[in-house]
Amino acid sequence: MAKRGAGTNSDQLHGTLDMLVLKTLQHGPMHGYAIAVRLEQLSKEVLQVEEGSLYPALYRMEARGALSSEWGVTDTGRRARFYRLTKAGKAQLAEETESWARITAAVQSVLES
Amino acid sequence: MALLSRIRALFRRDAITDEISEELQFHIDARAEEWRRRGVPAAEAKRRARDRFGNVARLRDEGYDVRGGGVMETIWQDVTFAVRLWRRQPGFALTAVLTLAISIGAVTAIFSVAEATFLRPLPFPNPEQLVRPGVHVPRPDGTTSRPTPSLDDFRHWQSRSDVFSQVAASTNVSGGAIIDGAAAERIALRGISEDYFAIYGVQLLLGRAFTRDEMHAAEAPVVILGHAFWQRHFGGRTDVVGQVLRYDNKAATIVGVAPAHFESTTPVFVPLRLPLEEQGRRGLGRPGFIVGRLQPGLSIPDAEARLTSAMPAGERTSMTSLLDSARTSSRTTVYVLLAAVGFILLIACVNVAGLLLGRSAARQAELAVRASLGAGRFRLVRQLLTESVLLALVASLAGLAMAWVGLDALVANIPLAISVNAPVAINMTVLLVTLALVVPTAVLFGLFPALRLSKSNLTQPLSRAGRQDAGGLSRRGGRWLIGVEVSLAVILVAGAGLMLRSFAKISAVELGIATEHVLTLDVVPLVTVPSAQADYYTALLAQLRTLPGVVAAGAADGFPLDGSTSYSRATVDGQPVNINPLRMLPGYAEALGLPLTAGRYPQPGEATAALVNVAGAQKMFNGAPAVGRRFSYGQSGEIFTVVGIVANSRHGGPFGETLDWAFIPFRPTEASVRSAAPLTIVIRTAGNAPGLGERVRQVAHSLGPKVLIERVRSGEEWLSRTVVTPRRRMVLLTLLGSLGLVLTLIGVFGMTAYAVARRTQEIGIRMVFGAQARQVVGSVVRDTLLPVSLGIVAGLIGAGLSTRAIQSFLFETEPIDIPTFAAVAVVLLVTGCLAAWLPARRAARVNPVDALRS
Repeated sequence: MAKRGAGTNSDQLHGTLDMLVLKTLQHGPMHGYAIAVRLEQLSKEVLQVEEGSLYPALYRMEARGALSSEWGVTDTGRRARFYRLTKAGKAQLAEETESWARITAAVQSVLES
Repeated sequence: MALLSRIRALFRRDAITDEISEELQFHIDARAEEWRRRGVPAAEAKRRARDRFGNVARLRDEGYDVRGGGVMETIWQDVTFAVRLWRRQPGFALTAVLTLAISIGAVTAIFSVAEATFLRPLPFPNPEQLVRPGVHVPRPDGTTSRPTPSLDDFRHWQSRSDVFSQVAASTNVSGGAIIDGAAAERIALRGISEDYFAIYGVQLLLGRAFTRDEMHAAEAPVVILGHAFWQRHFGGRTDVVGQVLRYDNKAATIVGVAPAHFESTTPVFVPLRLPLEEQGRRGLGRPGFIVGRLQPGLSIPDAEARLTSAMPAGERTSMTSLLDSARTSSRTTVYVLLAAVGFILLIACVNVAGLLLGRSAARQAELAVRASLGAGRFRLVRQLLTESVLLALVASLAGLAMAWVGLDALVANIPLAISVNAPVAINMTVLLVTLALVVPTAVLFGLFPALRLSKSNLTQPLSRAGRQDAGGLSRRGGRWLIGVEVSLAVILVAGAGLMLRSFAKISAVELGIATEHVLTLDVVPLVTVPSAQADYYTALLAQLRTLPGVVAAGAADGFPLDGSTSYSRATVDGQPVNINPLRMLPGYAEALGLPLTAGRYPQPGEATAALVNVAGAQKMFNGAPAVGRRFSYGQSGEIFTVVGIVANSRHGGPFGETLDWAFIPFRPTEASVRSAAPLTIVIRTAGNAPGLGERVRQVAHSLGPKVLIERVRSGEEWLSRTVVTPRRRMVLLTLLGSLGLVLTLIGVFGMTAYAVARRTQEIGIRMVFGAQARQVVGSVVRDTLLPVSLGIVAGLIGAGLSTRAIQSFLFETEPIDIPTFAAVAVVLLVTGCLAAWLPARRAARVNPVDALRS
């Protein structure tokens, strides 16, 4: 097994990516490509290096139980794997949104004082 | 089940990777399509999409690790890798597996004995409620006696429902019963009360238990068959209830059959019936055993108080918990054996740790290559751990198989009384405990070398410079391991040594009886008149004396080594004296090898000639010359004349005391004929007499009447029976001690070999500069001797602290016995030297040039 890039930066990136994926999926199931496109619109940063790194993230979140997936058919009639939020995923999103809000509020109050 | 789906994934690898590939391909295609729509040429769009996406193969593998059986698969890889390594080094694998397997087998077997005798001695519902009640009665002199309770006591307890929910009594019917048939057979009879099965929660296999009415002597005879007896005599037929069992000229109706797991050694149960005049008398030993089941929630002190308050002043009732006494009797032995096998397991683990450590020296290069190819430390440790867990599992299976095979032999030789009701078996509890013990130890002994190995600088072994880092034992864990191992072995061997020394002292005890070349057998002719019995024995002894090789033959109604006594009153010069009489036929003392100290042996036909032993003479005649003196004995006041005095002998074996015997002529009575009480025939031969037992049997049967022959034994057998428990303790602890010693030898050898392997280059350099082989050997052995010596010292201290645990097993031997401890130290030192010298010698034979080049 090759050594993967480990360390704080990458962990943060993972965390951010996970949260963005959860956010993206909150309005309904999407396939991987659609998620990538949406993420691109939200932030060019996250998938800057390689788009494919989205997939290991999806698999990890699925293994954790935040997402579930099933094969479906796209608008253009092709077979694709669709991801949807699970209950646990929704809870995680809510929690992370809240803590994010708390942190930004705290930072804001520091900056404004 | 996440684990299950992962295991399944192992076999669906293609399906999962195909799915992932399809998903990734869809993404790339969709992206390319996007570029094409924006006007990029198809080929260029595809290239851009692929570039943007990243390394498909790596992402697929990474995805498989998460989605599929990634972890399981690497474990599987590790397992196959370990097996491949073992096949390349069968010596290592075999030593490690055998070492562990033997110790796991020993632990499992001993633990199953402990489980049966200590954890589950009474396999009945609510065994903690079972008690043995007893009575304390004041004597006129102010002391109290504890006579066995009477039947009336038992009936009273049965009526006390405020104390007991049930009470049951039982007693062995003396003399048993004789079943007449083609070959007459004596069987034991157990008299039991009506609740005897119910109190243990035991259901009869067939039929019913006895009723209370059947306890009356006037009722028709009824019996319940023991399971084994039923199988043997009735072929396990289920229609026996209602049939008749004939014994002692009685016809008893069979009312039930006991189940297989309950008192399977009892052939026949009969109702407990005592003569009316005995029912109120305490101290008769009838009923012999009373057990009560306390009302739920009632404590023993409360129960005692309730019963005592209803008794005459001064008398009281006491109770002992059946469970506690069953445990107390086995506690020390069980603890000592568990500790000993625990030590063995520890030594084995230390050994395997040492072996793994030693082999890892040879594997450093391999591990370094793997690390440099990107294996993380965690991954390496996990691989090494997988190997040791696999080792432990294989060894556990082998060990369980060994325990299973050896269990019967162990049970037959265990120095413990194992209840027929709680047979020893490798059951679920035993398996779970073994597993709970083995897996953590496997992880421990695997983790130690794994961490040590993965911590070392992994690139170093690849470079030439790394070779010079040639730490001896001292700089590695090996020194500690050797020290720990040796000290554990010292404690084990010290225990074994003490048992050996103690047994030697037991064997050296002078019995006063010559047991070599002696054959005994219990014989009784099934005749109806006393004179026929007397004639039979006279004829039998005369015939036996004519057999080739026989130098003496006699008979008596007892045998000094069987341990029973029957003190009764004789009268000397009008004064009563308690003596221990043995009824004998002439030739008995000669056959036993009891030497005369005065007078002569009685001759056939002398109806009043008696022998006494030195202690008996002292007691009866106060040291005055005894030969020619008279005494009277028995209800009819028969007069006997002492014609000779024989030397003292110990009663019941080496632990017995010297009894005061009086040997008086045997005279059959109506009662002895009716109960078919046998005489023990004693035959002394000039040398070994193979086949004598069979010839004696033929003679005994050829004289006319039907004959019952039992207990055919040699004198040696009698002797070994009297020391059976100490012998078993000695054998078992010596076995465990030797096992510990051998394992230590292997361990020290393995770790020294490891140290030597690491020093090969250094040794080569030293030899190039002129070191002699002797010096090389010396330095290696010295390196090992330090931890060995420290281990011996620590072990001796440990032994000094712990051998008190076996003090009660020791006969005339102190738990800290200096000669034994010194011998143990020497044995361990020699073992340690030997174990270090073997690999050292090999190292010294190394060709220096090869060593440097390697």
